[in-house]
Amino acid sequence: MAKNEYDIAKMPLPELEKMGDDASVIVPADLKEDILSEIAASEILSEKSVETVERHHRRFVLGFCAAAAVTVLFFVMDDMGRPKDTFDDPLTAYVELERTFQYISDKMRPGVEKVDELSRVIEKSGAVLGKVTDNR
Amino acid sequence: MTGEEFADRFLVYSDSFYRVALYILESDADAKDAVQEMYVRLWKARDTLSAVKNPKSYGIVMVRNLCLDKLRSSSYRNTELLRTDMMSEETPYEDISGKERFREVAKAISGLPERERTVLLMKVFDGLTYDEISERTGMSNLTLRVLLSNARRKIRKLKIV
Repeated sequence: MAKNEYDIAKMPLPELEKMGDDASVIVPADLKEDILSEIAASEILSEKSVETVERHHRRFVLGFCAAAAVTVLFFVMDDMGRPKDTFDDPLTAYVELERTFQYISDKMRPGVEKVDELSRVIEKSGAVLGKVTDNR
Repeated sequence: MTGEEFADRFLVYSDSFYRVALYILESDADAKDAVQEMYVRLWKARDTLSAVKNPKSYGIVMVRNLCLDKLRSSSYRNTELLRTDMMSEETPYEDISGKERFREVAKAISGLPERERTVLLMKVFDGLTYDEISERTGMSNLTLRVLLSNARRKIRKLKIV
């Protein structure tokens, strides 16, 4: 019959110690040896898991460096693609300047139109709110 | 705590711990299992064990609790078996592949030739340097490295590490 777990949990320590000292109970001859083997096994297996974590870290760091290198390269190449900001010929410089101002102007126009539209919407909402608050 | 200190303070009571485990579990194999597991846990926590005043009592309480856990999980498992057998064909057991692997490595270590095993245990368990092992065994550094390399290779060959 299986021992009662409750009784075992409640057993006093001196009684358990007495049980442990009972030399009539034979202990396997290879017990200590097997214990040492198990401890060694646990050490070896935890070495392997540390190696695996280190390998993953290395991969992550390499990947990050590669991505950073690509990003830097992208910016450098992008910078090289931009137009020059110094010219030898004044006429060429003037043409480039005109072109730049036209570009800015073209971009600004739709932005200004959007702002106008938004102001109209805000004015309308303000008028409606005003009516509502006046009616109270 | 060094391997030597661990052996002097805790390993010396392995027989007592085994007898307590045997009384509770009533099985040689389960008792040995429990004691081995207990020592692995103790070893992992060895840096905190210097504060333990009475290693024997500490170990007995630990082995008792471990055995109680086994008893409880065993009776729980039997109940689950009964229930799931009726419902499906799937086994209710948790994945034991990690524990199996562990046992395989331990078995491999036990099966090593004596010199390889001695060197491996001194390196892994006692944490000795090659010079220290050389001093104790009288073997040269080169011989030790070869023995250790052979031991690890044999364990790896089993495709378990």
